[in-house]
Amino acid sequence: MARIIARLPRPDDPVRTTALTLLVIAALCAAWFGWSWYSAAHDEELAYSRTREEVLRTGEQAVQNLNTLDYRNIDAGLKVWLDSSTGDLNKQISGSRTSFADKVRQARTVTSARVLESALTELDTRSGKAVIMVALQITVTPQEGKAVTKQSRMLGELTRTRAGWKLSALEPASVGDTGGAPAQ
Amino acid sequence: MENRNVSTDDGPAGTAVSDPRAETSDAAETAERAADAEKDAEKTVSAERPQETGRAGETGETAAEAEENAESGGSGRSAESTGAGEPAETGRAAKTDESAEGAKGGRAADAAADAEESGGSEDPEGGEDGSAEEKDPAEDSAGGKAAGGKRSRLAWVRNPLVIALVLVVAGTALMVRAAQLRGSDAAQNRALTDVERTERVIGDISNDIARIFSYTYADTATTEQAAREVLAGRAADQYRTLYAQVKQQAGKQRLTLTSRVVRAGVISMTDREARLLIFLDQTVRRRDKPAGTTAAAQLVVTARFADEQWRIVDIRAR
Repeated sequence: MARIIARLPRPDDPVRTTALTLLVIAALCAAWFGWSWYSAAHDEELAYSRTREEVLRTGEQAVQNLNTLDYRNIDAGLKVWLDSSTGDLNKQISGSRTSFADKVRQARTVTSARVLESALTELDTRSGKAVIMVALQITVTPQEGKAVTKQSRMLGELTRTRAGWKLSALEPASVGDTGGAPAQ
Repeated sequence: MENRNVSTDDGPAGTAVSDPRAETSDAAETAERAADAEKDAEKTVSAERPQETGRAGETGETAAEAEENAESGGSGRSAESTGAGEPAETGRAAKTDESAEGAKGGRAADAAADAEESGGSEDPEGGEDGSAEEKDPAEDSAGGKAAGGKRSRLAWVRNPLVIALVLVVAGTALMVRAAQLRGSDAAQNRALTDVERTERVIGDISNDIARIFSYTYADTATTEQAAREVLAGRAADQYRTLYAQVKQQAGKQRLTLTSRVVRAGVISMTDREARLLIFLDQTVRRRDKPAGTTAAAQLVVTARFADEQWRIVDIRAR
């Protein structure tokens, strides 16, 4: 900086004055914008909202995954189920994997799901827990006969793992329930 | 600085300098400024003035530059510095050219931005200089020198301007990034980030939905009143149509509808608008079915905030 100033023409020179003024203005602007960026980049609320979007997306996908299964490709399907889940839900799936696969093979059904709408009702970024509510449409296609489509609603609990957010619980929000989420 | 001289040369070269005084003073001045802290350089200039005015000025300048170069350790300017070290050679046109060249090379790095920035402002000055001075065919370099002096004066300005430019560019980039961060959809959506408002809108809308979707055949007016309070826009119109039919049925069948919000979550929320996903249980009791049947409904409700109140403007079943 000292060198810059030393290089400047003398104070009575209008060019110097202009240059200095410009420099000062530019420095102030840069400082202000820099601060603006810094505060945005380190804004906890912004970080939180980014996490919220991420968890919501992941949750939607996981719920959809766990409501999708094709009897012709059941092992791959159940692999996806396991990959989308963690904790108790993961244990449940792996525990009943064989018997469940047999059932689906016998029934010869193809189940697919589409998420219609979803929202997070809770998100704790510290403990890494979230609760998602999902309205979805499930289509079950038997080998013979017509496909059946029904609207469904589910509540899921998401837990942060090393490999990202995964479903640790998933239940239909059945009629007459007093609103207890799987989390509670 | 030299960079400019070189470019400006083309113009003022035509009207080269012959007035030694003018040149001297100009060059001296330049030298003085260049040297700034270096008084010696200035002295040299004045001492040599009577004999070799133009060159003296140049020498001073070069010396000053050498100083500068030494300070900066600039690579491109080493040629200049060497020249300055040998006073005997200072005056020569060849030398001048060389240093100009050296300067050129050294500053090539600065080039693009500077050229752009300085180009506009320098040219007029260079032109002025040239015209102020008389032509001297013998001293080609003189014009160069004079212009050089002017240029070196401008060159001092250049760096601060470059720095200013860099600051502006960097600042703008940061500002844009900050705006992106804050302006993203995720950032605009205040669901859960604004806990108080999220809780409030969930509570308010859940209550409203339960009230407008609950009625008893014995008292349909209460529900109608509730609907007037909480509904607006499209939702209000739809509800009126629907409720007219319901009222007819309700009396005949002794209908009672009870709605209960099982779970509600905010999909998105801004200062003025919110979308909620609501899981609703609806129990219908009729004269022939007093125990009632309960059905599940999933609603997406849009609400607007105005006059310190959330009003439902749209209801859709999902």
